[in-house]
Amino acid sequence: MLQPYTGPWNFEQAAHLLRRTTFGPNKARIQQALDEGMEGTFQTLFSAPPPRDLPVYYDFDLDPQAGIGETWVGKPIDDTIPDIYFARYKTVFNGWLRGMRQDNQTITERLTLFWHNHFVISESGTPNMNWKYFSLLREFALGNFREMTKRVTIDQSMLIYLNGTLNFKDEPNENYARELLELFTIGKGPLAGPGDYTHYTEQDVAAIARALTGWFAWVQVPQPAQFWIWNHDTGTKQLSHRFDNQVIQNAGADEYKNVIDIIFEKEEVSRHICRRLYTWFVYYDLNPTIEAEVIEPMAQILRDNDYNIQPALEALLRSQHFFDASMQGCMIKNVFEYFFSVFNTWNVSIPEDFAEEQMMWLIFHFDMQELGMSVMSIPSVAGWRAYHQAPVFYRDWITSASVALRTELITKINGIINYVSPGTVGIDLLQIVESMENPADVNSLIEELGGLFYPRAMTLPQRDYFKESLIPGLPDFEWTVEYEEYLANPNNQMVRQTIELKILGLFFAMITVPEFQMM
Amino acid sequence: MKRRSFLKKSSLVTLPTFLGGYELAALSSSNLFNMVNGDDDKVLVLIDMNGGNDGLASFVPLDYFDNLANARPNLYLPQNQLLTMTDTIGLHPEMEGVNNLYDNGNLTLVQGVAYPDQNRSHFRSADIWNTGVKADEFKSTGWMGRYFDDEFPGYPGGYPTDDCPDPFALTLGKSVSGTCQGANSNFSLAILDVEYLGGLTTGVEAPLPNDCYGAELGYVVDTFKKSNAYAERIVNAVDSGNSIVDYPDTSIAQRLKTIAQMISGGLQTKVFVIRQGGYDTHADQIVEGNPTVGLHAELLKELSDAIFAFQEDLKALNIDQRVLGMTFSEFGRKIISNAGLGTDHGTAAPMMIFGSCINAGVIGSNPEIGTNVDIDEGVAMQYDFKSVYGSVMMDWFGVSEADVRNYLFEDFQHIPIINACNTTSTNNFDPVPNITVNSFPNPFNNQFTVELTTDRSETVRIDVADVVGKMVKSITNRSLNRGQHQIPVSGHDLNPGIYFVRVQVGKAVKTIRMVKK
Repeated sequence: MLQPYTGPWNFEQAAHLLRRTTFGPNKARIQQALDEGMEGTFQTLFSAPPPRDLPVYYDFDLDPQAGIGETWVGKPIDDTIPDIYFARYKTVFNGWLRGMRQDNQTITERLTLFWHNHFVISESGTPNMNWKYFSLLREFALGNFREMTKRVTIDQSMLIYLNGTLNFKDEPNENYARELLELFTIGKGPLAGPGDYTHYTEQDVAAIARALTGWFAWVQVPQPAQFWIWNHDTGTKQLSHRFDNQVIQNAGADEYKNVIDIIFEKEEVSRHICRRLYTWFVYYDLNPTIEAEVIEPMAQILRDNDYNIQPALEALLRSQHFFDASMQGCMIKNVFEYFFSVFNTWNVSIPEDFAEEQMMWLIFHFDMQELGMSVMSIPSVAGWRAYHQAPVFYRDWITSASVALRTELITKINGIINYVSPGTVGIDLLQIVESMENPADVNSLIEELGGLFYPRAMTLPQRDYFKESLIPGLPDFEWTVEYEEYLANPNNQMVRQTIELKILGLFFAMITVPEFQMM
Repeated sequence: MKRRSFLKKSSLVTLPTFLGGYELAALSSSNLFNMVNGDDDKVLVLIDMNGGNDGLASFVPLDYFDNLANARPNLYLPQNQLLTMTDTIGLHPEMEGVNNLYDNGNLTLVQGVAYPDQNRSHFRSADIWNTGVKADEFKSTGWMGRYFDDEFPGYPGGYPTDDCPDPFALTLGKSVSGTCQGANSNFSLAILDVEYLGGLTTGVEAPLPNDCYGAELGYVVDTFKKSNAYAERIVNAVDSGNSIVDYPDTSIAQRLKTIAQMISGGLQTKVFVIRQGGYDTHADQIVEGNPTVGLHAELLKELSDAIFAFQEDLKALNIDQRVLGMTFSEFGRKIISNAGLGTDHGTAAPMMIFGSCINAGVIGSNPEIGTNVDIDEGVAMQYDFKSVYGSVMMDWFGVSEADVRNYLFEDFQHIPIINACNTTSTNNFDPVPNITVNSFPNPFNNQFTVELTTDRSETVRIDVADVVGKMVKSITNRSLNRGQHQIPVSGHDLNPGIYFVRVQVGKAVKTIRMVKK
């Protein structure tokens, strides 16, 4: 039984939940959660997301199939047209980032990214295929894991990424079968004997590869994968004792469904996916206590609900364990989380013009790719290292190199927005300061910002350290004087700029300390 | 006795007492050599050919060329286009750099490197190579990390110190290296670019709570501090360091150039790690109809040109005797190609070791390719990678054999890869015995005989592996006198198919492909 959280619902709890389920909640979003209460907040988080806009061209006018402002989705690609792949792909990249900004209400974006990291595809297929694939992940994000696995198994993007399309009757390719077991469903257990990974064996990999023969995806043709019966191994496939020596009989185009049903009969599947969810949303240390007290009950809920994801995930996020003070702040932000913990939390303005906005996202996309995270370019089929690679896990994001680049990215935000949209003021820090409860009181201001930026309360010496960047060596009331001067003359450019510069110094001091890497 | 560190400056100070307390004979001569010369400046450059390199398309076994061409008709490299490395090894035509290294006596090729019970998953296999463990063993520390842990207990607390002012290991990339993972922390520092080093502020540190937040935040704080502490040293080394030859304009070559600058600039870092990804060539390894071009050709050219330029630079800088390079890959690829112009995960692959202080040449024999290759068949293992690592630890870093066994594995087999380099070091290692091995009948029905001749008394180990590298039988592991021996092997329990009999006689290895009818 996963003990539900019954403690107080205040800023700390709401911010914790929203940091883990959305990207960079701002003050207004956290306030909304406080107004809605815990129940209401969960209802909002798990409500249906706004439909994802179809990707449209914004600067590419060489495609006779679709002009600027029109979508290319469902339209064939003529690869003799220069740059057409990139023109389409960039709108997919931009769409992900745009979603992380726009949907600050539901868990969808965080969860779709989880599935992208789980059912990895990376740089394979075509824009149309990949768009369809991501739509599938979004559609099933809170849905039935078994059904999702079936759909993924014969999806064109996956058939290409893991060579299912090269899995021939006479020449089976085990790549997909192996990852299906090792990573996607049941997971690899300790080596129990030659070729025996406790949950499955090499024999099962070979048998399942044979059962999945016959599926084919044309790289260039935007139509569903095809099943070629003549290329399907119609023999019976003998599974090992790990699957109770079951036999997969020939079932033609439906055989893959039987394979997945057989795998999902094993309880281990529920544990494996719950561990992955736990690592994505809570922490990576799956010690025996966590296994017994969190993973087991969560997996039980998943099985009781026929592998529908939502009840189990919701139980985790509603649990005493999730809200336990000692469990807060234990995640190191990944690149998206880091970026949006500034971009969204600071209410950075985005250009009103659609094309300019798209250009902005594309630049951020490449900057974040440089930092090690971008959609469709995941380092391996196991996902980003932070969510599977022992013993480093989240620490993989933090190196001397990446930390400096992270800060640099923030310093570039205004410049990038100005570059794509001259005149747009991206970062308006005064507006954030003004939205605080008591901005004229320097201690209250810094503490409140701390609550917004950091997962744990700052100490007094830390508060004083930040104060130094605002009013170096001056008594506290000097801030009050300066700030009230600004309030009295909001249109005096010199007064405004002076105070803005000070605030900028404070904000950068606050985001460059190690605590800001945590969430 | 715990041998003192080759890395610690302080070890030199304690040398007289140290030597006084023990008989010289008790010390490995290579250790003695390292210490007497104050030779604590050895550098190892590890190059991760990530994804699983196709060794059969890199170092082509000419003695089995026809069988290889039959097994991979859609992508074998035409024999007349190969570079001639030796009479029996043809190089991929893009590997001119490696050919030059070999001709200059700067390359040792170790054939058939893998581990028993090959795991064909990238992640697990990469973990096995990085952590230096057996296939069924799990460790969270890397093979160099365990060594560093013993030498520098307590790391990272207190480091850098006056004695150890520089990072122990550097990864030129975004991620630290699993090879250098220690019990508490990773000994490697990741640097993307020298200009992004240092200047990180830790603000005012609050006490770290004893929970997961404290653990993770502590790591971040520590990374900030180490980065700052090491930054100045690294930047100074690059600035005062030098690079003389022209390097190709590829990312791997430029990284090696930076390493040359750091070493020549006096950085005392012991291990550098770089990664070249892309070797997972399941599809489009070559361009259809043109097998010498394509993905794999590009990768090999990039690597080959880069390491040749690096080696020439090190010579020009006169630091070549301090630097050893080594490539590794998590596995080789299957012998039979797939229909997608690619190759799938296999077993053994060759390792390249380059430098000026090596026993240049080829260790081990060409992989044996049969006329009827099994669909899953990989290249048979001749040498365990842990023995290669261990030999480098012993001969390059002066780690004792006992410690090597402890860090890596008990079955460690010394491989004479490294020579003492312009010294009169009386290497007291056993020589490599001359052996001849036959196995008959082949194919066999229910049993066969291994006939073995050795010119030295040695411990003899005979194991049998199947086509995917799984160990199926251990025949013997005992001492045999010099002379000829016949060892009967029962194969009643084996299914019909292909097997590899691996005969290890001291430092010599011979692997024979056997077929059971």
